[in-house]
Amino acid sequence: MNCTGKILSFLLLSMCLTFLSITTNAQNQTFRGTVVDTSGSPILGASVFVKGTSFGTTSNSKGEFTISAPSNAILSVSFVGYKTREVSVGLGSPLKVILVPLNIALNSVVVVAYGTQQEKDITGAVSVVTSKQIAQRPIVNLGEALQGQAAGVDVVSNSGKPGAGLTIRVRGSSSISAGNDPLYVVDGIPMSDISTLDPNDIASMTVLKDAASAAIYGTRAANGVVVITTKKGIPGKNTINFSGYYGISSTTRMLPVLNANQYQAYANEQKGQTVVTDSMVRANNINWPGQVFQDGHQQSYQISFSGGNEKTQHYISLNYMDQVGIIKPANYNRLSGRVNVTTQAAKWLKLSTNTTITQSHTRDVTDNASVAREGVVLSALETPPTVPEFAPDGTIGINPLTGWENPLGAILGRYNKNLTDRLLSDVDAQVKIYKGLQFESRFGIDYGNFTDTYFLDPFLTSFGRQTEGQQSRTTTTNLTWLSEQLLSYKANWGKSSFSALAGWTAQDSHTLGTTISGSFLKPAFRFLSWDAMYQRDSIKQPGTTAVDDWALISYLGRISYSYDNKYLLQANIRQDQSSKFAPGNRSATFPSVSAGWRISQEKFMQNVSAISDLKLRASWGQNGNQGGIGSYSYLPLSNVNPVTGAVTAATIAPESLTWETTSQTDIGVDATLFNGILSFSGDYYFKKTKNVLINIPLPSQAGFSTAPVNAASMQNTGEEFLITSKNIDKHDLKWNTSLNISFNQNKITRIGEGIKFMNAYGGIYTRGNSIALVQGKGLGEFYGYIADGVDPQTGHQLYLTQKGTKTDNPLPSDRVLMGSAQPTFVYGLNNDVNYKRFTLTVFIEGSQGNKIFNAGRLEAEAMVNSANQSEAVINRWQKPGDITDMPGVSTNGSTNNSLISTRFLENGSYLRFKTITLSYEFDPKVLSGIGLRSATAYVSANNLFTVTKYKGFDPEVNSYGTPGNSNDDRNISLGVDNGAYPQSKMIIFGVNFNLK
Amino acid sequence: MKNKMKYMLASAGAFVLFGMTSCNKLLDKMPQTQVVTQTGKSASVTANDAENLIAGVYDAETGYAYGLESNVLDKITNGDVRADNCYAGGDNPDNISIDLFTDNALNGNIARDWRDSYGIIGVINSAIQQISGSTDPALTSARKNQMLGEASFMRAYTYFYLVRLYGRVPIMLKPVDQTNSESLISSTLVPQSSTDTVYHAILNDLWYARQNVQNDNVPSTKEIITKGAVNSVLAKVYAAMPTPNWDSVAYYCDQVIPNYSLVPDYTWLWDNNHKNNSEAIWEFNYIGYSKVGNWIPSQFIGAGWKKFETPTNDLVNAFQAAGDNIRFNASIAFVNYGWADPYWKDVNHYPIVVKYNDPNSGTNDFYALRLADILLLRAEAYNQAGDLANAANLVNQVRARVQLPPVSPNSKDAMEAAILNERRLELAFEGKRWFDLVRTGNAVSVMNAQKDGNGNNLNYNVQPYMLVYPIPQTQLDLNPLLTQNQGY
Repeated sequence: MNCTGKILSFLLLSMCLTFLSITTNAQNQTFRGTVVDTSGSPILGASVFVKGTSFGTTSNSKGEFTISAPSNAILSVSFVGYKTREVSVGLGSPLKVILVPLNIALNSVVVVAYGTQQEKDITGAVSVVTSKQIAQRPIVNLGEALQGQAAGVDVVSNSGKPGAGLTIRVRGSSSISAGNDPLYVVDGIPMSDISTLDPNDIASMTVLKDAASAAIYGTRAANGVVVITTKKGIPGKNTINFSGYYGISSTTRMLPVLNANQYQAYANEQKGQTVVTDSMVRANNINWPGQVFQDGHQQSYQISFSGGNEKTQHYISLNYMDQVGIIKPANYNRLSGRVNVTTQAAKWLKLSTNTTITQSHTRDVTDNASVAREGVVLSALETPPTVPEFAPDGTIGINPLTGWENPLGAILGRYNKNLTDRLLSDVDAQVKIYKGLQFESRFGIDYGNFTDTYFLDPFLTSFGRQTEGQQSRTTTTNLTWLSEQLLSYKANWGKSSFSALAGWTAQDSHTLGTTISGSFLKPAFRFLSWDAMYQRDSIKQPGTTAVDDWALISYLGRISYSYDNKYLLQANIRQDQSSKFAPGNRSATFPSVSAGWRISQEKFMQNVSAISDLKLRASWGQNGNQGGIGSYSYLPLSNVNPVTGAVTAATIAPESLTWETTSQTDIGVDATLFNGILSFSGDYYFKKTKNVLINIPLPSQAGFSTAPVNAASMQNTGEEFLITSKNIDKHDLKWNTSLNISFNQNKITRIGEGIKFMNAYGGIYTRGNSIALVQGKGLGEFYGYIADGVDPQTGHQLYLTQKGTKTDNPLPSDRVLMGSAQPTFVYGLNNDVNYKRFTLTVFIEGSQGNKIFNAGRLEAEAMVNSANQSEAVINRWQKPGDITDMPGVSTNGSTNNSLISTRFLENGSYLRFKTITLSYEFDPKVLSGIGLRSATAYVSANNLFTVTKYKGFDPEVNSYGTPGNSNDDRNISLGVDNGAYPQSKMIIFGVNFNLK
Repeated sequence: MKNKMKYMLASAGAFVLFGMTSCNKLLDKMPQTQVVTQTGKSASVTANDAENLIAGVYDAETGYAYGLESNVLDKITNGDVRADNCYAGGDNPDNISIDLFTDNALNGNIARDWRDSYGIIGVINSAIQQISGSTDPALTSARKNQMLGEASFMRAYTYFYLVRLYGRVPIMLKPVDQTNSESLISSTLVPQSSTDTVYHAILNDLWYARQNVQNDNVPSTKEIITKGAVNSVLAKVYAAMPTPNWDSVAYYCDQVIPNYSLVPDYTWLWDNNHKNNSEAIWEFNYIGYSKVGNWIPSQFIGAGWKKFETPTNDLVNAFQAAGDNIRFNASIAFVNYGWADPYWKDVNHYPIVVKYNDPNSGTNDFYALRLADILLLRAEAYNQAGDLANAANLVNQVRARVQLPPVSPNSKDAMEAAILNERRLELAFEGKRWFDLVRTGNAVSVMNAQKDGNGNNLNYNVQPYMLVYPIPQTQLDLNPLLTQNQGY
């Protein structure tokens, strides 16, 4: 269909909707009333509707409303968190409507795609995290709030580095080489990065998990959608709120290494001569891990102003957070401000804007790299204790045999700083056209400016002395704009309710990056500012630029129908046209349908008093995925050398490159028992993804490293459960428990192109690849040898051969699949105990059944060079007859004693006390004297205990999940620990004041 | 009320229309800082594009595009550390195992050389296809053929390196077929060819190049391929083939020798003041870090950490036995950087490579081919033909420059040994020694006879299968049609 055709069809649809809205008019009168809660306090913002129509109003700050309705009308009055009431206007004027608070979560309003829905009406699978679950936790990156809190969502912190990212998977991974990260929609604007949002500003996060809930986001929905809304002002409730915490962090565990004497014995044995002399041992005996790890801290402060009147509501906040890591100098801080305003500009026009501006600074330190590559963690473990902090000339001490610097090389000898400025803003106009018919126009921008600055000291570091320093700075600006035009219609006839939505959206992104770099700086200038030094660099490399553009144009539609609150039906459709594919191959359509049956509303269920609510849900739909596909991936590209102008072929691509399509079926049940004491929600899903993008690693004779093809197929099936229970619900004592548990089975059903197996992932420094992509298995399948003891005669590590014999020199064909990095299930258990003014929250989170390849331990037990080693090598084999599981030193450069094998593959399961928080709420009577409405103080321990068998620093690790790795590695190379910046434990103290 | 509604609907509609009319344009995004490779059958690049494409081939071959590890450092490691000129030095298991013949298919250097060599070949294949498809009248057929000749030469040179390192290797002479994904993948899965077939492909490319590249000493630098470079490689190929053809070696050497002359002072070759000199046949120019610096010398020279490529006792002894002070001093220096090892136990007397003497500003060039190499190869051809007098004449020409007395071995074997030794001293650390040992059949015996400083055998235990490297395991894993070399 061409462009004009689409416009025509869109207009036709709009016209249909307009005709639908023309319904009969009746003679109306004006009625007045007030809405109050059970204590008699007025409720502001309650919806008052004439039943069976879409005509309504809202109550003002005194709870008053005025409505025009036929004299026999019934009014439906509702407010979030209260039971909806229906009253006849005939009861007299003014009417007094008392709303009773609900204690059944099912009736709460949930933010979904393009709107809100009452939870009882939802037919798809969604998980909700509210501001309450975010409060009083030291969350830096908003995604952390989903960890263990939303069934079906698996969140892994890639490392403990300040500002570090997360790997978030909704119902498993559906792609191999495209993105597997969910789409985030913040106040209506789709985006891929939410790291600049302050968690304090968040009202709710809804994870749309099944195809039907997410389908309206089309080619970006296959990995789930997280719809985030920020806090809005509540009319009549003008408040000034301050919240803040301060915390101290430390390592969860230390790994012991050899001391100077032990190292001397090891190194001289390995080198076969005295390379470490007694005087070296006497001069320095530094425990480098102890030297490198320090106490970190974290603090966050927020002040917010919210409130308004019935016409205009505001939410204004200022946030600051600062995080200093447990390995210096890594730190992260963020300053952000937000203004959210909604105003009823005219009877028919509601305007709103949400604007946030953020500046964040990150100081990085290299991790996930070997000591040879300046990785600070492995450098701490592998720098010999005999290496001094500084050489006599003031340069950073080095291992004299390898030239590798001590960890100060990473800490002092270089810096890598990032400055991010980001502006997110949208303006939204809602126009009431006619009864139930509304037009909404939204325009949003996401503007970012990112500056990465690198400096290598020309004096302190040996690499720096070689090139007399190095400097580079990359400045990237991105502007993404979004235009959305939506037409919606709502109507009720008798027992039927109907709503429809049609829309057109366009999104366009432009990114421009510029890099400058220089070197050959006189060491005397090395204390100047970056810019002052750059000016003095005697060699400047040519500047380069990078441009990246994409756009997406979409049409969307949704129809919902419910009959008698019992039978619910919804259908969605979205058509996307994406610039990321070749012309003629750009357009994709994604349909979905879902249905719900509220069995508890049936007559035959009325006598079953134990069941307060029971709903069966089923949905089917298709979602697309173009995430992680480059803007020009469908084109074969050549690089242009900025100096010589030389052109070299760089990438290949088939023109047929296309999006991935995931079809998902979901069956779920929601039940509320015993009047809300127990509630249960369970889902089973089956996801099949076709046209999965795979960058097939090519044998080098292709001349290119990879070729992207839509060849693979993937399958995810899973079950997820959420149980919440009010164990005790007394006036003074309340105890709530919620447990969620998610199982996902991920399977690559086809790799494609005749390939069944590729051992091309999870690279381990100088050892090859630890992960294979295997048809019939999931992502993250470890591949290597089976280690089987140490030969007492030779001290060589033995491996099992295919024939079952043992050898110290195995053949590649002896390698086997060793286990999976994917967990069998992940879970979260939350307990809140509330006694009088005290609340104790214990949040446990864990992962079961996953393996981790401990490449850090491989390096620290390899005994192939003069790097320091783990204390475990004290038990090494030293002479024939020694019975030990630790091989002897390797003197001939052979790495056969430390091949990728089951020896370094460890059980990655863990159970972690993620947070234990004790809070105290001060007596409002006492507070009112000092001008406070409420005040809470709390102390919270994070990551205090972790139960695990993992021998590395921390089981929550994903070295290849960090930015800078390819999508392929981020998706496939799971569960590898290459010396990641470890997680820390932290104790925080916090307060929350609410001013009158 | 009705009018207002109409107005609102109309304005909303207009807004929507305004937004939608430009939709096709919005979706047309093209790369700005990269160029789209012309792959179609009827695609034609401009003359300018063609020039940039051939420049890209030079970038790949000289390491601008690949970081110089494979292009310079590994050439010396494979040619000198694997042989009897250097110990691995440093503390890197990959290098040490290449030195000690304990390398396996997981060795990082061995994987890197395969990967980067084929990377260069991929760049060349793509450039050849694009340039040959150009119909731009601004591109004269002479210039076009010249470029294709240069590219073909560099492809042959790369395959020549591969066949000597790995033995049987797959041949790719065309870019991958991008018609669709099946063809794309299947066209990359190529089995190994016999070494004869590989040599045949190398010769084909060299013959083509010889017809089309520029004459000697015409281009402004010695980095540009000339007939001299092509003839030199032809001579070296005929000498290295499983069955050498000494007549051809002689013929092609004779095409080269008259057009070049040895520089009078051996140290001029290394002093960075005589770049692109009369002796250079093919020289990789590195002008420093403002463009691309040759950082490899920093891996050999400098106090602090233990550097790579430590000269062997055997090589030092060979220089001393020959009384060859000029080349010795140009090649090796003794330092007291503060470390020692089982090979060199005296902290105050530890040898390092100084032929590449600028560890800081990256200005050392790398000679891929120079006249002394071809003169000595011609001497071998004379010797093979029984012409000892002419062989001695050439050897002595090389010796005279470094003020060594003439030699006159009186048997074919003695002459062969003298030439081999002369090549060793003249070309030390230029990545030639190992291939000379293999080509002359001496690799196993020479390496197994290696002794340390105290005269104890180093027990390398070299087996004949170790004359080629293992096929990297990563490649075997990716291409099921490849088979591992025997013995590994």
